[in-house]
Formats: sequence, C-alpha cells, structure tokens
Amino acid sequence: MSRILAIEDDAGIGAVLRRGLALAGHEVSVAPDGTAGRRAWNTGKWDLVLLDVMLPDADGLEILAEQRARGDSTPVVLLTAREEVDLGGSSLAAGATDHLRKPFAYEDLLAHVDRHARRAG
Amino acid sequence: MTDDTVRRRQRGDVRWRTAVAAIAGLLVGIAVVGVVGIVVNRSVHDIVERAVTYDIELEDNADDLRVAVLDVRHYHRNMLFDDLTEAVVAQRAGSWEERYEELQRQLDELAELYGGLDPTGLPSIAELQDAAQRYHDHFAPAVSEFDADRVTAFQNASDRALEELSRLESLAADIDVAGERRAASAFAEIDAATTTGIVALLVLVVGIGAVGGGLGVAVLRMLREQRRVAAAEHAAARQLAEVAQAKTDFIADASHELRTPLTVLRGNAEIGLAMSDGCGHGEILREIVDQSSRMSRLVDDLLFLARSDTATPPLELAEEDAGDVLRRIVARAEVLVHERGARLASDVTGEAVLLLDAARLEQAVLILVDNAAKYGPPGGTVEVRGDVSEHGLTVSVGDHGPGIPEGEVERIFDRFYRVRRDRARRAGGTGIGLSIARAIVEGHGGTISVRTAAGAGTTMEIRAPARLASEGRVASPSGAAS
Repeated sequence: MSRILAIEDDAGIGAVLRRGLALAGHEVSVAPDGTAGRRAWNTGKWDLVLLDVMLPDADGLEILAEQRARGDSTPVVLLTAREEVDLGGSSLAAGATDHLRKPFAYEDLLAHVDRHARRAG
Repeated sequence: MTDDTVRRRQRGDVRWRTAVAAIAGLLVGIAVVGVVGIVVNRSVHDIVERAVTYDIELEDNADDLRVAVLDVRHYHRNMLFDDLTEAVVAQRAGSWEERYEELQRQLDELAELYGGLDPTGLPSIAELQDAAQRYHDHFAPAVSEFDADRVTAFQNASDRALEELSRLESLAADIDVAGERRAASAFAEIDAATTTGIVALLVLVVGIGAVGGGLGVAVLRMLREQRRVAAAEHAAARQLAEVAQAKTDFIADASHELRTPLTVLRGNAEIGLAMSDGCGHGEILREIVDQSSRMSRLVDDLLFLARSDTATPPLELAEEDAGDVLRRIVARAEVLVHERGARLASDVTGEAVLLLDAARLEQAVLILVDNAAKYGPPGGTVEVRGDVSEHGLTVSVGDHGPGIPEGEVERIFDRFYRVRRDRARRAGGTGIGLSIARAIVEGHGGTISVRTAAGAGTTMEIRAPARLASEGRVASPSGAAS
C-alpha cells in the first residue's frame, strides 16, 4: 500500500486514478489544480506523486522544479500527452522519475506505481 | 489554378499584346517619319534644282541679252558721233560687229536654255532672232557701203535699224520680267515645299510623341496592375496557408482533446474488468476497452496525417541497420498474417545503414500487410520482399486476391476511401491506412506504387531512397518516439 498524490485537473481521469489505484489497495488523493496540488504536496507525506504537465493554473514541471529545489525527493511520474514526449529531457532535468503517456492502460498505470512508489513503512 | 488566376493571366496577356502592338506602331511611325523626311527632302531638292537650272538662269540670260543689246546700241551710236568719214566708220564697224556677234552668242545660249523650258508666256526664239536679223540687215549694208557724201541715207538706215533693236530690247525685257516672275514663283514653291515638309515632320513627331507617351503610361499602369495582382496572389496564398494551418491545428487539437475522454473510458472499463471477476459484464467491458483502444489509434493516425500536411513530416529519423529493421518488421507481419488466418512468404536481402523512422516504417509496411491479408483469399499467402542497399530500400507486399478495379486504383490512397466498403468495414478498416502509409513513405522522400489487375492480385511497393544524415532531423535510435 502506498500513499499517492495525483495532481490532475480532468475530473474523469482523476476519478479513474482514484478508483483504479484504490482497487489495487493504494491510498489516493486527487488535487484538481496547481494551487491545491502544492498545498497537498507540502502538507502530506507521499510515496508517489502523479503530476499532470498541463494544469489550468500552473506548469507541472515548474511545480516539480520548486519541490526539488526545496529538497523534496518524492518519486514523481509525469502524466503527458503523446506530443509532450519530446520534453523527456527537460522532465528528467526538472527531476521527474518517469512519465506515463495518455491514453494509458490500467495495467501500465499499476506497473508504474509498483515500480516507483516508496513502500509505506 | 483558380478561375480568377486564369482571368488575371488573360488580362495580362491582352496587356502584353497591346504593349507589343504599341511598340511596333512606334517603330512603324519612326520609319514613316524617315520616309516622309526623305521624300520632302527630294521634292525640295528637285524644285530648287529646276529653279536654279531654268527659272533663275532664264532671268540671268535675259539680263545678259539686254546688256548685249545695249552694248550693240552703244557701239552702233559710237559710229554716228563726230564727223562721219569712211575711215571713222570703218574703224568703229569692227567693234560693232564684235558686239553683234556677242548678241548672237547670247541668243544661242538663250535658245539652248529654251530647250528645257515651258515656253508659255515667253517671246519665241525665232521672234528674237528675226528682230536681231532685221536690225543687222538694215544697218550692216549701210555700214559696209558707207559714203560720206550720203550721210543722210546712212542715218535713215541707222534709225530704222535702231527701231528693230529697240523691239529686240523690249522682247529681252519681257523675257527678263517673265524670268523674274518664274524665279519668284520658284522661290515661293521652295518655301511652300519646305514648310509642308516641316509641318508634316512636326505632325509626325508630335504623333509619335503622343503614342510614346501613351505607351509609357500604359506600361506604368501595367506594372502597377501586375504589382497589385502579385500582392493579391501573395495575400491569397498566405490566407490559404493560414486556412490549411487552421485546419491542421483544428485536427491536432481535436485529436488531442479526444484522448482524455478516451483515457477515462478505457480506464474505467479496465477497472470494471478488474473488479468484476466472474460477472457477466466482462465481455461488454472488454469490448469497450477494445473499441476505445481502436479509437485511440485512429485519433493518433488522424493527428499524424494532420501533421503530415505541414511542411515537415512528423518523423523521428535515425540511422538504423535497415536489414535488421526489415527483419523485425517481417516478424511482426508474420504474427499479423497468422491472426488473419493467412500465411506469410518473406525474403529480405542486403545490408545498409539508412536514415529512417523504424517505428513509422513498420507501421507503413504492416498497413500493407494487413490489407493484403484482409483482401487476399482466406488462407492465402501474403508475400513480403525486402531489399536494402546503400541507395535505399524497397519493400513489396503482394497478395493473390481479386485485385483492385481499374477505375479505383488512383483513389485508394485517398483518406477514408475503401474499395469494398461493406467488406472493409467488417474487416475493421477505417479507410485511412493507405493514406498513413503514403504519408510515412513520402516523409522518407520515397514513393509507394501499386501493381494490380482484376483477378491477378495486388502488389504494393515502397521505395525509399537513402537520405544523407544532414538532410533529415536526426534523433537517437533510442529516442522517445519508440
């Protein structure tokens, strides 16, 4: 079981993440925008952050860079659209652990979480 | 080319023809001015020559004749002065005879000049010669037979002779006056001819100036019109490019936006499948997963086609061992053909490192293989032949199906075109496979061709030339495109 923060503005995808990860036994919080995401990230303790790159009020990569600058080392999987894959280099530079391309298969999501999430003590 | 462009081009043609005609007219005008100048010059020259040769010469000769008459009279009268003795008369008669001979010479000259003249209004030469002859006939015997004792008879003869001489003088005066008149009218004619020539030349010069000016204005107008047309065409082309870009952007945006709901749809179906073990909804959920996957692929293909319409094809080119790439593609093709219930016969020859997008090339070849398996006879053979060299690669995919009807061969690469619509849809086709394949091959700078005949099967052939590494965008073979 891992504690997972999903920062994702689309309610449908947020629901899929919550539902799917809960079914696999994880504890999931979904923040619908950058402001709520920052607050949740800083106030909670997370084993993995799923971070949408394009948020209505913020650039996901900027949030990631801020957190890394504060010394936060939580594993982060970026959620990207296919056209955004070529930011691979810059996402790694910003401190992402991996990225998952939309549309993603449920089993790929579970595989990414299993691979990267810290085990909750 | 639009109708509007054609019309503009035709207008341009008319304008060019007008300009050429105007220039030709100008040249003809210049030639006419030259010819008229020459004619006027010749006419003035003729008139001057005639005047100098005859009219002015006539006046001169008449003058000379009068002078000769006066000389004769002077020497005639000399003989009458002082005491009239035989010695005096005989001595002076010699000089008088000389003057008379001079008078005769003048008459001969005049006779010669008369030969080239219009004699109307002039005393005739015969008249003149008669008068001179009568004068001489009266006086010469009196001179030669002079007798100092018969002075009176001599004086009578002299008086009669002088009367004849006066008649001759008066005739000479008439010729002089007529000559003067003729010379004056010749000068007037020269003036008139010169004036006419100058006027004609001035009219022509002004005319040509007007034509030249008009031509200049026409050329300026034409240039301005052409600039305007070029600007309009440029604007139209830009607008067209903007519309095309907007269309591409729209398709790209729409495809992108479709992805999120597709992810949600598929994710929920998959979660439902994971939750509902043994429940009757499994089949329905699996169908939703399959169809949303298919729709995702379609959305990806649409996005690829939209981007192929822009200047740079959306390919991730990398230097690859093309023989290896083709063998990997053949292995995938084998799986695909088996799924369709057919067999694969394959052959890959040659080795070379070529610049290509391996994933997209595979997509293109598999589209052809899938079509061959779908349209070939059930359980038939699909033949895939690949050849690689440093010049490029060739892949042909053949089936033994019914072939493509002749009228439809050109349309099979059109988007959403299907040869047998019902059958193709049953076989799961979307109608954009060949469009995608062609966009991929053309993105590699290659061509895709088709050989087919009714009942004799269909063979599609991809030919892609080797591309210099500097020509394409080079990505690392392990790039994110995989």
